[in-house]
Amino acid sequence: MGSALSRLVKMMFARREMRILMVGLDAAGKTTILYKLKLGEVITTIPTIGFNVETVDYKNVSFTVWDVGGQDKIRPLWRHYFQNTQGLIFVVDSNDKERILEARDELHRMLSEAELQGATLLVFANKQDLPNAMSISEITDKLGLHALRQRRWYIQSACATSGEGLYEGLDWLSSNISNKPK
Amino acid sequence: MDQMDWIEKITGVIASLLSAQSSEQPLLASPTSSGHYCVASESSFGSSSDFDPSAVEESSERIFGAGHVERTSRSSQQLKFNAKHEKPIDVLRKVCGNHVCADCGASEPDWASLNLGILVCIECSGVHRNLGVHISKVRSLTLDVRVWEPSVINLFQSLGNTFANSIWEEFLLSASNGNIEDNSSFCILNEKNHISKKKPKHNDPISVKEKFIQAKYAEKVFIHQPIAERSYQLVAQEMWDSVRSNNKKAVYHHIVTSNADVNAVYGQTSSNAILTLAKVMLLQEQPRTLDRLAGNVVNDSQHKVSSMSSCSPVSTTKDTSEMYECHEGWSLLHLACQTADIGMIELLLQYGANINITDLRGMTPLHHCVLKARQAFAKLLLTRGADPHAVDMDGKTPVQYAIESGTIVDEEILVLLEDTNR
Repeated sequence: MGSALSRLVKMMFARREMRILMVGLDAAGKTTILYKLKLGEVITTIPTIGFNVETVDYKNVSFTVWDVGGQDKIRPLWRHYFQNTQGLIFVVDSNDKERILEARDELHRMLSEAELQGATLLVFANKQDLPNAMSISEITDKLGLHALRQRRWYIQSACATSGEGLYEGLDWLSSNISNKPK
Repeated sequence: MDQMDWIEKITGVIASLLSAQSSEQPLLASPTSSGHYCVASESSFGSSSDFDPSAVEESSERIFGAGHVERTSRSSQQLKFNAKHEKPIDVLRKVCGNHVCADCGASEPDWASLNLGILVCIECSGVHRNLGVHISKVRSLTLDVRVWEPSVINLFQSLGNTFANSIWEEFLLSASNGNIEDNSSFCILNEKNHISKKKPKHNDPISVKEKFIQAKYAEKVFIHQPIAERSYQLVAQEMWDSVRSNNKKAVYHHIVTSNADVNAVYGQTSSNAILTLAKVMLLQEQPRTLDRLAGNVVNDSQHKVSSMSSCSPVSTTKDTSEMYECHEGWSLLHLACQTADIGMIELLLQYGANINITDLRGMTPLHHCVLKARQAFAKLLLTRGADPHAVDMDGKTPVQYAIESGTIVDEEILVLLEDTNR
């Protein structure tokens, strides 16, 4: 009886681990999001050449988040991080209307990769605090999210500098990621 | 451990890729070899027109084989040569002031702000990114490759750190030329409060650079504002003249210091505009009278009248040649497509010019480019979202004009024109 209870408790409170890949165009705010989650503060970032990786613990889930540079010449490197990725965070600068279609193209190109077939998709519509930020519905539309088939996806409005929306996104990820990748 | 394994592998891949990149992109030998563009850049933006307005386009027309232009232009050939054989970083470092970061003076900057037309170091680029793309659009000179199109290179060659800082830091510069001897240290008396500002050095902490860059570009603290608020019409007039004469420095200056409206439409404003209209019409219709124009022909009221009558919006004539004599209802982008070079179009687009704006005949800038067989311009507009299926008042689209006239021969452009999914 006692051991059964403790097993149940253990099961309920056991840490799950999740491997998350965070990508998006350059200057979307990926590194700022990563360190806001990790440290709880806003640091002044410089462009990421290569990657950052941090473990973020939240609600019994240990998220290992890979944050990869987004300049166009180094985007082909993203695929080196695909293996075993359970959750994909795609960060969009909601203020950057000019490049939303470029973001769409990168997103769809990536989602067509076999290694990511089982990965759930969380889109952070970042920089919602800026003057001309596009709305969530506009971004959903422009990114062509409704056209996605056989993919669990969610779009979350966010502001990395205030932290708004970030944990809501993680909440969704933790309850929508299968424990076994693919 | 799994993760460590990963990190090692990934680091290895990145290292090998980066080293492959740097070997294919030898760095500029020395900043002292960079004097090439300085003479032109240092001249006053008010009077200089940086390029022969039509040089670049003419040269591209020649290359595409559609034009029959015989004039050659050294500057355009130079530009073509540069764009083809040199890396963007090598070309752009030669522009005056571009051997150091525009904000902190760090040497060999390899990041850039597209709309500001400057080169910055990686640290300052990080701060620029925080300002938002409505203030600064940051790209890498080496890690971003698609963005460095000829139009952007042209624009950057026309601006540069020295010129840009003459506007963004005018207050600092005048203070330093006045009573303070030490160039590196300035004291600014802001209207609201005393703030001591000095230009940061490359080894200052990033927080110092952050404050400076925020003040410089977001709050525009160091810009010398015009003493009297100038009217919308006056600024619009100056913008029109500057675009017409392909003076990118002047256009940039008006946008930064006077918040000039890049979507201003000709004829919308005042009688002032009519004067220019008369001038422009004269230029186009009677090139022989150029000498006379230098005088005060613009005061001749006759021209006002004639321009008014010929620009009637209800005119339905199908003679397209007539169209170019009438500027009524044109936007600056329409004008740039007719009279300026590709860098001017880039500048207007960077500052939010509406790419599908229509004139009184319902024609977009793309219509104008197709009818004028300006293929390089048409291509730029198409890649930036111009609608190839916009219908003008005669019911025609740029695609139809292109097919009818047969002047567009570049296959790439034809494909873009026919792409219905854009």
